[in-house]
Formats: sequence, C-alpha cells, structure tokens
Amino acid sequence: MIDWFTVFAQIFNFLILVYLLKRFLYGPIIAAIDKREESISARIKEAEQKQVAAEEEIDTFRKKNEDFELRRTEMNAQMKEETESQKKQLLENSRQEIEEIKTRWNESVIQERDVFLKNLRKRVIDQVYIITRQALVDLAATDIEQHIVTVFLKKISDFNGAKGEKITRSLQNRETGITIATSFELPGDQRDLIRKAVCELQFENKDIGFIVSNDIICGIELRGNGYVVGWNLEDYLNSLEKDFNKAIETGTGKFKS
Amino acid sequence: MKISPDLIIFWQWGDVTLNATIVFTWAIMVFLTISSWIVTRKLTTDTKLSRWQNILEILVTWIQGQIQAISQRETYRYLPFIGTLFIFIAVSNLLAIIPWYQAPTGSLSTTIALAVCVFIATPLFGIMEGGLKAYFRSYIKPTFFMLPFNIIGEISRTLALAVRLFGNIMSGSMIAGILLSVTPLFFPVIMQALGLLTGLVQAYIFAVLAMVYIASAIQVHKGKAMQESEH
Repeated sequence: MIDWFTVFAQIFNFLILVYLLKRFLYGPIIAAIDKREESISARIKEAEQKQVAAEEEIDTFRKKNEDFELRRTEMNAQMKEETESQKKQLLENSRQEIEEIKTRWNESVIQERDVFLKNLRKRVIDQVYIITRQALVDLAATDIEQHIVTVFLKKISDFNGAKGEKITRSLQNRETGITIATSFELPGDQRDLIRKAVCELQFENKDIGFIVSNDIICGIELRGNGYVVGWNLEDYLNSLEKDFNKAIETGTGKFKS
Repeated sequence: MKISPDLIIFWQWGDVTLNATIVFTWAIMVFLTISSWIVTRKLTTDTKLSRWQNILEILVTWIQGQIQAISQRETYRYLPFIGTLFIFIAVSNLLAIIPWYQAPTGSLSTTIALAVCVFIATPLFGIMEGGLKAYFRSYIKPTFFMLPFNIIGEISRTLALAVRLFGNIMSGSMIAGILLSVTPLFFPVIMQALGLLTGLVQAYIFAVLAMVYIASAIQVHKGKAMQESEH
C-alpha cells in the first residue's frame, strides 16, 4: 500500500513547496504588511507630532488672543481716558467761549446802557432845560440864559478869598486871551455885561473872545490859562446820571434823594 | 475502483513511478506558486489593496495568528512550514470538486510524507529554540524510564497524524464512490459538498496538530528558561 518512492517524492515536493511559498507568498506578504504597519506607525507618529504642534499653535494663538484682549482692554481704557480728557477740554473750551460771549454780551449791554443813558441824559437835560427855562420865563419874565449870565456874573464878582485871588492872579498872568464859552448865542448886551465884569477883574487889556460850545450843556464858562470858571447845568446832570447808573447797577430802581 | 491515487500510474521505470499523487501534487505546486507570484508581484504598501492581495493578507495573518495563539510567541519562524501544510492540504482537498481530479492527500504516501515532515520538523524546531542538549533531555523527563514511552509517543502521534488525514480523505472519496453506485443523482453531490468542509477541517486539524507538537517541543526550552529565571 505504501509506495516509499512516492513518500520520498512527496517529502521533496513538500519541501520545495515550502520554499516556493516562502519565496512568493509569505515573504512578500509579510514584508508588505510590515511595511504598511511601519507606514501607518509613521503616519500615526506624524499625526501625533502634528497634533502636538497644533496644540502648541493653539496655545500660542490662545496666548496671542489673551494678549490681544488685554491690549484691547488697555486701549479701551486709554481711549476712554483720552475721550474723557478731550470731553473735559471741549467742555472747558465751551465754558470759556460761553464766558467770553457772556462777557462780550455784558459789555454790549453795558455799552447799550451807556448809549441809552447818554441819550436819556441828553433828553432829560433838554427837557429839564426847557422846563426850567419855561418856568423861569413864566415866573420872572426873563429867560434862563439871562439867569445863567446873571449867576455867572455873580460868580465872577465873588472872586474873593484865597481861591478867588489865585484864579484872578493866574488869569492876569496869562499869555493867551480869555474865552467866554456858552451853550447858547449871547446877545450883545449880555456880552457887554460880561466884558465889563471881566474887566473889573483888572485884566481889561486882555482879549476877551465869545464862543458857542457844544461841550457845555446849558451853561457858561470863563476859560483862560488852564482855569475854567463858570456855571453849568451839566454838573447837576452828572450827579443825576450817577444816581441813574447806580440805580441800574444795583437794580433797586431807586434814585439817591 | 481505486482507493489510492498512487495506483494510477502514468509512467514507470523500475521503482521510479510517476503516479497521480505526484502529478497532481506538482499541479497544485504550480498552481499555488503561479497564483502567489501573480498576486504578490504587484503588492502595494498603501492602505488601498487589491482584492487578491487582501485575501492573501487575511489568509497569511490568520495563519500567523493561529501559530502565535498556539506557540505564545511573536515569530515568523513557523509560518512557512505550518502555513504550507495548511494551504497544501486545504487546496488539494478543495480541488476535489474538479472531475477526474485525485486529491494527493487521499494517498497514504502523501500523508505519511507530511507526517514525516512534522516528525522531523518538531525536534528540529525544538533544537533551534533551546539547543540539542535541552531538547533530548526532555525525553528522559520526569525519569529516565520514561524514555521508551516518550519515543513511542512521538512515533505514534506521527503515525496517527498521517493515518487520520489519509483515512478522512480516502473515506470521503470512497463514500462518494459507493453512494454514486447506489444513488447516482443527488446524494453524492451533498456528500461532495460535505467533503469540502471535511477537507478544510482536516487541513486545519493537521496544521494545528503539527503546530501543537512543535509548540510542545519549544515549550521545553521555554520551561527551562522560566525555571532559570525563577532561580
């Protein structure tokens, strides 16, 4: 039953088959599997390295983000501070501007008030003058200008005492002529009266000139060598104006009696 | 009806006979070698594999897994021997579906040849693993008187290995032949299909038993190494 030649032939065949399969099957397949495993291991390792790198990058970016956030907060705070400062500056500027406008407005009001008061004063003087003259005309049958001249003449004739002598001496030593300034045109007779009265002050040889001056409000003045002697309604009106001003400034509306 | 393919002789010159067993073995060898070469000449190490490469990888890794499970070692040393045993027996049995084909494993000469290979390989691997002295010492363990029994055990298990495979394959063919004469239509087909399963199981059993014998031989060395490490 057992063919020993076949047995040995089969042993030989089997050994050859072992070699052939090792050469063409197991070797290449195992090599391929090993290589693939190595490749997969390498990929896994690479992936792990990439993951580590990615995590590091994530950390870097997180840190950058934190830094950015911090810087943003700081910049916000700084910006807020600057804005606040600028706002304060602008408010200050506005306040100053308002103050300036207010000052200008006040000045303008004061100016307008002055103009108003000036006009008022002029009108009041005019009215007072008209009323006074009318009253004087009605009462004494003479006009106010005549009374002014009369008062002036009396004032000149009253140049007595130390003050009178001082003025008289000054006028006598003068180099220029004497000027009689009035707010109205003096009639010829009154000019004569005044000339006569001035001559009585012993400087008759001096020139006496007569002028009508708009500076004088209802009055008469003797001007010479820096001295001015006369009577003027403006003095009274100045006093009245002071009272007016004071009343307006204080807002009481009451005049000094 | 011929029981063994050894009896189908194509050419004879003295004791040298070219019978069906040898011829079909050559055919299987050519078939396996060429098909392996065709598949493995274009192997890829990429993750995308061809269908045949995938099948061969599954087969090889499965055999390797079985070897590792039995031997408890991570080594490719036993793969060519055990793998070729399994593949050769399995293919020679599976090809039985081809008409006029005679499975070489149905010859007692082939199974004895394979058993002799295992019989020789077992001490060889044992000696390769632990050395000559350590291997032969295992025959006189636990006492010197166990030597004859150990030798008888070796021979008997080799004989059993050979006869088991031969008996199974031969009986399968015989049953198919007998049934063919009794009920010529359906039943032999079922038996043939069953024969394929039996053939695969026999291939598996033969390969696993061979590996168990080899593992038992290399365990001697392993046991010695463990004892030395304990001391």
